[in-house]
Amino acid sequence: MTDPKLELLRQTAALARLELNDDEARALSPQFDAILAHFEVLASLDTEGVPPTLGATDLRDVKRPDEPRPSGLSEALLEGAPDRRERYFGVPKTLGGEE
Amino acid sequence: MSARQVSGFRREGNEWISEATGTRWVAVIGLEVHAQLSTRTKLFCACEVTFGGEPNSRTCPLCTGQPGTLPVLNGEALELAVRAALAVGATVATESKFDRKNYFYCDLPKNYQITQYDQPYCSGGGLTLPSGKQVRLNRIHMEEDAGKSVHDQGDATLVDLNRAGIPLIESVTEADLTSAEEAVEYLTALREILIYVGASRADMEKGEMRCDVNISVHPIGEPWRTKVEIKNLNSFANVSGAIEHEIPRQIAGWESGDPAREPVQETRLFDVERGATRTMRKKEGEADYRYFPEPDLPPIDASERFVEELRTRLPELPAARRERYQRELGLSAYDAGVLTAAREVADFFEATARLSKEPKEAANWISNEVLRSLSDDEYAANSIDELPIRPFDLAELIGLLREGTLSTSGARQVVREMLKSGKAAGELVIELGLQQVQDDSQLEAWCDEVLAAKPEIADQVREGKTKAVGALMGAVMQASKGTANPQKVREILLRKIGVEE
Amino acid sequence: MTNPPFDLTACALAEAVRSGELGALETTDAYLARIEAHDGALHAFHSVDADGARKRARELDDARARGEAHGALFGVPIALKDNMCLAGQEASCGSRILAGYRAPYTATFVQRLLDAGAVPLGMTSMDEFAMGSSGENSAHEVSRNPWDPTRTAGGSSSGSAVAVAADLAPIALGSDTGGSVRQPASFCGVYGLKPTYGRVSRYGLIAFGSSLDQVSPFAHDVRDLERVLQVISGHDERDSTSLPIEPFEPERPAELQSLVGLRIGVAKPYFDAGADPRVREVCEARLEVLRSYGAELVEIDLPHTAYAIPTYYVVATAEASSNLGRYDGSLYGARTGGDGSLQSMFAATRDAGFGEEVKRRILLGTYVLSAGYKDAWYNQALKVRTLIRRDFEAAFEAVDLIAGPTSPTPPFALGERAGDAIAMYNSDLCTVPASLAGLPALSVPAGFTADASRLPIGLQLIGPALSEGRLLRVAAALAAAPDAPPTHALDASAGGAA
Repeated sequence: MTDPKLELLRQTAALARLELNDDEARALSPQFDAILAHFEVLASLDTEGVPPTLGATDLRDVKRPDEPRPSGLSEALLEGAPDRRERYFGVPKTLGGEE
Repeated sequence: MSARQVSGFRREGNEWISEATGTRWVAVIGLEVHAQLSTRTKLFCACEVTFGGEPNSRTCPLCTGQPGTLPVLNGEALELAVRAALAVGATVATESKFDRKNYFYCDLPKNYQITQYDQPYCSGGGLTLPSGKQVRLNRIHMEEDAGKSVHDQGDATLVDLNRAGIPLIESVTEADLTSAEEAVEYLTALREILIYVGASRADMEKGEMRCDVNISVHPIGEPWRTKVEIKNLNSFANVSGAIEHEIPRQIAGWESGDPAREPVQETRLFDVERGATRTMRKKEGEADYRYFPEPDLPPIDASERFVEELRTRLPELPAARRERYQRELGLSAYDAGVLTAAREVADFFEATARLSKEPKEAANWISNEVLRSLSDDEYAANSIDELPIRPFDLAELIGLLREGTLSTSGARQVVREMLKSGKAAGELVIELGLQQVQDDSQLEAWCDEVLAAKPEIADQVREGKTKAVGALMGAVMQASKGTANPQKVREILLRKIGVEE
Repeated sequence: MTNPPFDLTACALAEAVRSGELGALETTDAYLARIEAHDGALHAFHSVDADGARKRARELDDARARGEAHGALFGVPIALKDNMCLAGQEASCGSRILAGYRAPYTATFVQRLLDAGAVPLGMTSMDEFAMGSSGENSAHEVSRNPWDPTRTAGGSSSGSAVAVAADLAPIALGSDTGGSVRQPASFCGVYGLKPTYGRVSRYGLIAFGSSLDQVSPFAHDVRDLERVLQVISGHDERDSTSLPIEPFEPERPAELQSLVGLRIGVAKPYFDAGADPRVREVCEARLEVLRSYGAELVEIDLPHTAYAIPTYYVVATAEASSNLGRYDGSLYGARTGGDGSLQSMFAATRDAGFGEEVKRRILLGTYVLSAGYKDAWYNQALKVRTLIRRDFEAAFEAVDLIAGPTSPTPPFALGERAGDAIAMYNSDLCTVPASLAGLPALSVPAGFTADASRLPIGLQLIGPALSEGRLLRVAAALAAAPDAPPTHALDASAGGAA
């Protein structure tokens, strides 16, 4: 029988591309639960009508002009690639597209 | 009517009638179009946006997702996006924001895309198709493009990030379309508008416009059924082909009675060679993108003043121009259509009309000689702005015509030379010796010559066949190499023959 | 040099090098030698760039010889946290996943330091991706507290705090997201200042919690904090969240009398919750000094303090789960192959490259943003954040600044909390509220525990937005008052030997 909490943990890990095998999930799960339980106090606060804080400043409308400025770093960035293929970044083949 | 014959179905308008069951099916189609904004730099960094070039040559730490980098919004991208919104009659939000859409893929350097989720910069609006049908827009939002991956390279996929970070607007229609034809009409109209207001060059071949199709079918009168997404169609032909294949595929699936063949909610691709759609991946429910507000970017302010200022600077849109040409300048609907097909042609026409004060003449010369030259290889120009003739030059020609210095056929010769050589009208008139002869004695001389040569035609005219004078006129025009004034020639001939008009 | 420059403030050092009294190279060499002598035991530095530092120092000496000795930090050595970008230097963020990664560009704030004549000595050790309060989450070395090497130096900017406390560099930079500079400053007995959010550009600071991170200086002296803040602060067009203001200008030195009428808020929650009585004792004594100079102590409440830790951890981990998504082995950094497919390479790389705490926080952050949970967790946290900000706004109607302990406990022993995530999170209680509100906060060395262990304690001062000047003025008054504690952990005048 699958433990729904374990299952949730594994789904969350999958979303974050963090593999969790059975042992790891079992080891992590109680701690994860304890942390969430500790934080659950948030839910008890009545925040009706309180606006969310989306950004840490009151700034708005920050823009820049449409002026090209080549970085001069394109080659250096390719050089930093774990698997450089001439002018490309090489990665293992994809199976079936995104996600 | 569909160009392709699909067996088992009969088409009537936008209905597909199954020959097996007699059921009348209709399709419900919505389009998601991604268009690249025609800025010089990317949405959040100052890397240049140009087509082609070496892979990974237009990159910087930001658009390759290096640690510690931060996005800064391109103000021009916002302006172009707002222009596009105004052009389709959408409402621009005074405040909007960016969000992160999180997923893992090799063409997404940060493994999140900066896009707009629940507060896009505009909503609503729509387009009217030539048939008069309204297609409503649900929303348009701004987002950054992903890079390109080249698959099937042996053991690796190759990633090129030149495209990563290019500004896009994604426009989503309501499911108002019902056929491949309508879809192509919509895309054509959308493309025209985007080009017209300078928001996007929307060249599908260069990947500047891409289309995803959401499509479902149902028997007429019944509730809507499962919808399927077809992604990344990159030409009008492919959009049409994909829809034309998908509709009967879905209908056949429903009618088969086999649950395994019923259409499922999934993403498909269009295989151009086979002319058929195929599964890309099955969607097990919606992907969880964990959208949240982008903390590195403050909200966007599009104040009413900002929007109104952009609205005033918006060029008059094609439909409005067409209507004005007919109403104010007395042009026919057809002529108005020809002249507003491209914005630069309409601009050229208006300038010529203004300078020459002869809108109908301007319309005539542009529609015929000038535009025709564009399809003639001899002139080597792709747009009216590349031709050596400018509105001022054409206006000069029209002036010479109006004052009688040139005849119509003479003007035709001159304009063709102008298009080839770029020389001024006045100069060419002299060079080609086309100056219309006003001198009566010369005209009389030519008429005498012709009358002497063709006395039998003169007799016909005297007998009442006034029309026959045309042949005599033609002979005089020939003798004068087109420089004779036709009206005067006619007068002289008739007088000499002794007939009254 | 009979008296190596270790007892000079950075300001005095800059003056001495500009005037020629001290050479830039000899100064740099002195600090490099001290690192050589002590860092083997302290592990403040992850990497030392001796060649680069000496090269720079020589260039500065040449400039001075040409009569071009300008720059507010001319010839002053500085230590940078390992999450800061300096072109060509490794920035590993205390992680395996970025081991060997060399920054391709230089952070704005680092460039400003370079332009002012500072000499970066190397990158200091830290909790992995700035996630931790003890330095023990580093994938590489773990820094030791120079006052007691069996204890932690605090975190996540552990190495930078140690470097300054042990005089391995006169000044250092750290990053403060929920207390990561203030708490190590408190644990190491030095000053640490988190500026108002947006005061200092984040461009080139490797992100953990984007709406919380701030580059923050460590120093021995208030004047030095001011000097560094002046150099690194001010609007940066490369950071859309950087405030459109001029660089910080220090105020005139504080006269003790000028504290008359200053209203200092004493927040009960900071003094009560789990505070070790030794911490209270030392902090209260310092507040008494301020009172004796005319300041008024006012008891205030910050009613939502109990919710600050959960709010902080929900917001910070949510942002971090997204910020750390890019570490997948495709474009840079370490890569571990999977079964040959793209997605498995992502997973294998992240599995091998991230430590336990980082994985824990990424999981938490992913969870609180995921469908079905986002509303109850993330959206709720954003609203509670507003309530916490409002607490401060209300408080600042009644007082000019708020004071309390920087940390509820003195520095704890290595290994004491390492396995207990919740205990570790709770140690941030006093510091996270100011981070959530984006307010400037300064940890001032307040004294040592009265018992034989003699452990450093910090007093935290929090002010309204952009009030760094006020906080520094109060700190200067405390520094000039009797019983101001020493801030050099090792014997400064002993030169290269401990």
